[in-house]
Amino acid sequence: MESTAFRELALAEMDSVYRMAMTLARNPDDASDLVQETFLKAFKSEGRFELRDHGVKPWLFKILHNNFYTKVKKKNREPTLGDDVISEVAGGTLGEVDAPPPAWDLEHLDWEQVDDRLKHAIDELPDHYREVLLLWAVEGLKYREIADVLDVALGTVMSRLYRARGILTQNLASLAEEHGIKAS
Amino acid sequence: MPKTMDEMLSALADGELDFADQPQVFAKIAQDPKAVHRLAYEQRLKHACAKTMSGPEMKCPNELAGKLLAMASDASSKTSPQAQPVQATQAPYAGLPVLARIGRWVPTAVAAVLLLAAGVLFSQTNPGGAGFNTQTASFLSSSQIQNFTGRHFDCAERPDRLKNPDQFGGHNFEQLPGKLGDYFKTDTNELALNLNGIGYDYQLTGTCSIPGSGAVHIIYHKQADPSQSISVWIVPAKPEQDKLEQGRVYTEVGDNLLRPVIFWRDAGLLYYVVGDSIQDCDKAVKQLRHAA
Repeated sequence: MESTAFRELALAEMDSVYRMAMTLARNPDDASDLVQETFLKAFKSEGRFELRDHGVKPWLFKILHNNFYTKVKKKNREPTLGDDVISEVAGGTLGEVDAPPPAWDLEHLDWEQVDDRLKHAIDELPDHYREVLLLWAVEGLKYREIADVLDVALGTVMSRLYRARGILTQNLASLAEEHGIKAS
Repeated sequence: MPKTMDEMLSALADGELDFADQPQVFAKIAQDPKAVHRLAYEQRLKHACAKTMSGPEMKCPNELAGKLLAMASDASSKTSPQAQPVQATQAPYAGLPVLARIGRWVPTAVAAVLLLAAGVLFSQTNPGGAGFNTQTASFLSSSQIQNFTGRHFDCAERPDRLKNPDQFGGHNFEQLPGKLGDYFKTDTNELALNLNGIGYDYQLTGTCSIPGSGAVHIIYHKQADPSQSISVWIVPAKPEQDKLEQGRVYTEVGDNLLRPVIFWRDAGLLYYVVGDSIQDCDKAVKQLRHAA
């Protein structure tokens, strides 16, 4: 792919890349560093990029993801938590993965009131869940693309997403209860 | 990994259900009306998550965007010194799924950065530009350029930081030309200071320590996007600035290639312009050059 065209495509994704950096780093300074490192690596290795159906965005996400977790590992000098451990860390409520999430009457919620509660609930999610939620809900990546970005199996994407939604739903269920909406 | 019915229902809501799983899931939906409610809920939750996770604080800050563009320009100059500046303005952005804010200014900015990197003056090659005779100048130090862009960021975002705004009529633009005339003891062309014609509204004017004593700083916000602004500074010219040719427009580029300082000398006054869109600055300069 021609170099100028690649850079233009990459720069057009700077908001998306920054969003993911903020989702992982959780503060603007670290996010800015991550974004700059990501673009620097992307520009240096642009020769290896092949424009496929899903474009440059997942490729940039993959660089950012790897960069972030390399830093985390260096910083913590400990292995990354597995999904099972994350489930326990997330409140111990996720063991019953196959149990249906509660309160489907949440569809009757006033979604305008949901924002603050949801934002708080998303902020509380473990990094792995927040990341997959962002790629799915905001960036519109397919499960397969998310699996590729995170370098995990397709089933892992599905279960992370399912668990993340389950936690959010539980949080929203308590909001529904406060507003007198009966959970089924 | 075996999939649960809940995972498969989520997958269906996301349009990701495997063909092989469809009969099982559709059978579930037929038996259980709650499954339909669940699908609707899943879609609303996704929409709410998208809204919550893409607030304004999650947009790439302009300063960082400038650094990335400079980085791209640097990579460009290393791989291609001439960098095809004119072709860059024709970048195929229209067909790309670009977020609105970025979509508006990145093509211009990329083009301008490449042009500047190649040492070409954007106004001379930009068909929509003012076409005035500009030249790069080693007139401002890099710290002075940084001061201009830094003050632009600060005061454009918070015009109330400007000092002595009442001296220039506050927010009332109609008073501004007269007040500036009194301040600089010269006649000021009201029409030239009005940037409505290029889509910018007047915000406020105040005294400023940049670029030196006696300077005033005028802020305009873009009507269509108030996060984009243009800053104009006017200051009496000093004798040592006689080397600036009357009527010639100069540009100085610092670290922030996106925001060059554009300046000129006219009727004993120096005018400096910094803005968030190079193209709009180009238009503003054309308008403002008739200010005095």
